[in-house]
Amino acid sequence: MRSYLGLIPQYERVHHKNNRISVLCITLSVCLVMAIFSMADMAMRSQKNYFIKTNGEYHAALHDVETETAERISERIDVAISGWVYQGCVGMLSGKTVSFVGAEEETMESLTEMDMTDGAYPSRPDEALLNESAMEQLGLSIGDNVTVTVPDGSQKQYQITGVLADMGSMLKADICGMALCEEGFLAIADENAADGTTYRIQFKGGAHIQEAMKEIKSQFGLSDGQISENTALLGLMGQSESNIMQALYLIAAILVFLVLIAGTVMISAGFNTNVLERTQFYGLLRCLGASAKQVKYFVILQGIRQSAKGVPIGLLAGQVVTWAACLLLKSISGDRFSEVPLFEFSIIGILAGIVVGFLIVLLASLSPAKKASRVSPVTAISGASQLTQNKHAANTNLFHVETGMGVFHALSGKKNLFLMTCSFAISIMLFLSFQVMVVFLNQGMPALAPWAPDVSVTAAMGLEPSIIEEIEEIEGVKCAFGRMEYGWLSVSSDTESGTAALVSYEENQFKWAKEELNEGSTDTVSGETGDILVSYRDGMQWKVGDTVTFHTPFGEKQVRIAGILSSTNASSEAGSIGYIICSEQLHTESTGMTGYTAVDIQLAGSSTDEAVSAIRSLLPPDISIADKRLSNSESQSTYYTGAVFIYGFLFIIALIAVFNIFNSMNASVAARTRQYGVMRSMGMGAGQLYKMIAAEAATYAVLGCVTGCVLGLPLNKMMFQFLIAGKWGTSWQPPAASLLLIVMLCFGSAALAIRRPIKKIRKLSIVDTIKLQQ
Amino acid sequence: MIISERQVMNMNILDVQNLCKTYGKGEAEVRALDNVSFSVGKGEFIAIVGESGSGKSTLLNVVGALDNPTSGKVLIDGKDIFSMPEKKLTVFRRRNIGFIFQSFNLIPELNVEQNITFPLLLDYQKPDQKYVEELLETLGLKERRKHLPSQLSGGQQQRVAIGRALAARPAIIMADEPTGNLDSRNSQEVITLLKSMSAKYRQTILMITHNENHADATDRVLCMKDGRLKDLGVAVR
Repeated sequence: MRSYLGLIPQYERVHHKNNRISVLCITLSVCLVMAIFSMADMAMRSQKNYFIKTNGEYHAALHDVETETAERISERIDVAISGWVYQGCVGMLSGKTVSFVGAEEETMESLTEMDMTDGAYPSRPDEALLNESAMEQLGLSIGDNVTVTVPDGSQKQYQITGVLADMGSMLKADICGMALCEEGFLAIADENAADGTTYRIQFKGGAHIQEAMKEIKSQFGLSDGQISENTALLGLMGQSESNIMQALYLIAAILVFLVLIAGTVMISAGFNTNVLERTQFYGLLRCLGASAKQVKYFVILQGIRQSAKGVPIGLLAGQVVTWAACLLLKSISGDRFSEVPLFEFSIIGILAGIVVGFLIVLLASLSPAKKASRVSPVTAISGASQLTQNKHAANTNLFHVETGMGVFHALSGKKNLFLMTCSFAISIMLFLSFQVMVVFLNQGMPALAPWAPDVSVTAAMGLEPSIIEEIEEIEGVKCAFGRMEYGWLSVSSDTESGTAALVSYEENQFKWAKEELNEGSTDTVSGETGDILVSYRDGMQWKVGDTVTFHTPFGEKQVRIAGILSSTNASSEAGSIGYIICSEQLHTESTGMTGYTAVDIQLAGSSTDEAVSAIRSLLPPDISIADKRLSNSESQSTYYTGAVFIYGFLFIIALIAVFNIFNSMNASVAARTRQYGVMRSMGMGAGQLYKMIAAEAATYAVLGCVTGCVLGLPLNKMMFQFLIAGKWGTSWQPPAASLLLIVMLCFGSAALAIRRPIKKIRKLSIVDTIKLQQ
Repeated sequence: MIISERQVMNMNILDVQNLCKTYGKGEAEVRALDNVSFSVGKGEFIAIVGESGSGKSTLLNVVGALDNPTSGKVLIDGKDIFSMPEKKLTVFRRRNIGFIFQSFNLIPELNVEQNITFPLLLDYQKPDQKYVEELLETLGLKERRKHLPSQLSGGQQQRVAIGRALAARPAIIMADEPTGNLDSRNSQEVITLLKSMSAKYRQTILMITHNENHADATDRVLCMKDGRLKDLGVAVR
């Protein structure tokens, strides 16, 4: 041994069990912190990939700019790729609307959401790509020629050189998509092309996009309307200046901070386990002549050695957990989690693991050293400072003595109490915060609504109600329901007047509407009472019970508002005062309409393609049939990815709390084992001993839950009001079910945490227990 | 010389019959207690002496029901304690056996009064306040009843431990070197206190000691040697 620091490996060898526990603590903490950050990173990447797939990987788009300006911008040093994307022109192909898009191959590939799945990109003006479902419907294949009515009304022949992947938006609008080269598009462009055409820019990695956009704007004298950012993509890159994104960043920062605190608390709590023993050892060093500084060096080196062992294993474990989670998602549903990256590393996750691992370990190990230097060496050696420095006696009047002492044990260790309370409280706060995000995801996606149709039929002239029965008879159709929709109905009341879209609901839709009710009731609306429902909008002055007058072609009609809905199921555009929902009878009385203008169909089973074809053949050819299956599945994919990652975080955070209470209870029991032996010798029954340990764990859980609820509920309310209430008017209610779940989880983990120490004590004989540490 | 009070006792409070305790197996086997038998009458103050490792503490632990014997019987107040199930034995120990340890072993979270009444609190009994006051008075702890163990001297802590052992008015008190951690003045005080308590409350006490002077203060001395017990008879004053 060359210096006193050589004692460290020997100390570790002798206390190999404790050393192993400390290394395990670090490993677990680093693993959890890294897994959280890596999974967040993977979720962001997955979402980014999704946005790139659905919007294109461009950062900024310029509208209505000169070719010369575009060329000069493309020469900027911070621009990676840029190019023209021409859109806005429509034509006709076999009686169906066809939307043209024009771009060079590289631009199409990198800066647009469009994707070529087969064949070659058109290089001549008379070559084109056609979308997959159109090719199927028209029975075309690569190399075939098609005749298309171009915007000026003339006929033009194109050779199909490749296949364009279907996009949800195309199928939803029931149109075909045709991609041409730049030259090909310019040859057919009409005045509409100017509106749809953009010059898209992708900046180089590391570029400050907002600065660059400002520079471009001022350099070329562009107006605000001429330059726009790809908010979804920039938002995920942390470079968006949109107000909503800024607010989301704030929320993300709060959550990251809470996760970091949770990691810190866990490592600190983990290290709190053998403080007594280590304090005694450092006291011994001081007795033998070590200076406070030498003890500090000793502690730092010891911490680094443990971290050096624990951090790499933790990082490896965290990486494995992340990859396993991503693989699991892919294996559960390759479609829903198509954009989740596989076997990728997250620098953010690795850095977070390393920083948390080393930094917190050092901070946590310095605490016993400080303690040892503060107390006299003799006291440190005896360890008396740990168990006998209570300022007050336990309260044995309120509870039985064993319960009173259990509560006292929990309350007497201030640091431990703080760490445990924080650990529970942070778990609850994070749970309540993330819960709002799941609600937000759910609420923000119409594709997840119970009425979400797979196929939507719109017929301006109206369809006979009997069509519903005919559609429902088709194999693969789960249900069909129709609506009469009348836009621009003039309405007035004492407080507001304007136009509204009057929509009729039938039985199914009224049933689903109940779940969307912000206030009031739907019961009277479906009958013949003349009551209506209205959709919520920002600044709405209408209240339940207000009387509204319809100014219909058949005269005036007074109706009463029976309820306010957070969202509605309607195909037509809302009027200036939103949507008004009424019964079919009231609708017919007010508008004279008898046929459905919109029919929604939900499909079931696997043969949905056949069902869609059968629906198409059943309806007249001039009726628009929107196939929403792909766009629904895209929305569901976003929701499930979000929800799985959010619940994944919650699971890991819950693990942190469970790990903390396990650690803490083990440490507490280990420190008091001898005392328990003494109490047993005095006649304390095994049941009383369990009660004492349970009371300690329950105290942590109660305090943690109370603190968590006190801090978490306002946070939940704040996030709810920001994310949900402002948009849908839904009033905040305490999330009772979520709260109950997390509180039960806290108490459940506390109950689990005491099982092991109790088992351990049960195995020890009273004599052995008293002899321990004597 | 005085004669042991045992002869005037009507019944034995403790009967130990052929007690054996073996640790290990085969060549490593150690017979800590080798066929130990003795009886103690009510109110007797008995010292157990012997060299380190002779089996004194093992005897006290087994007789005090903290440890199980390999064979043999221990009858306290006529009851075979090892025939009782664990739960019943715990309650029996709580009500009938008091312990005084060398290192006091007070509960650091409880004050003097709470420590003394601890066995009663465990039994969910309301302490007899008059008796507690009397104990505090006799032990000289009245002024310190609200103090925590950490605020007391070693001698005071051991007096609290004596009070705790007496609180439930047990059939027998086991004292394992109660003066081992005390200076000579405090040691003498503790022995005097134990002697007076034994006399005042007719309390049976079984005490391990290394100190011959302390053994002299007791009614009878038992000697342990290599796990075997020898009754040295009446102590010499």
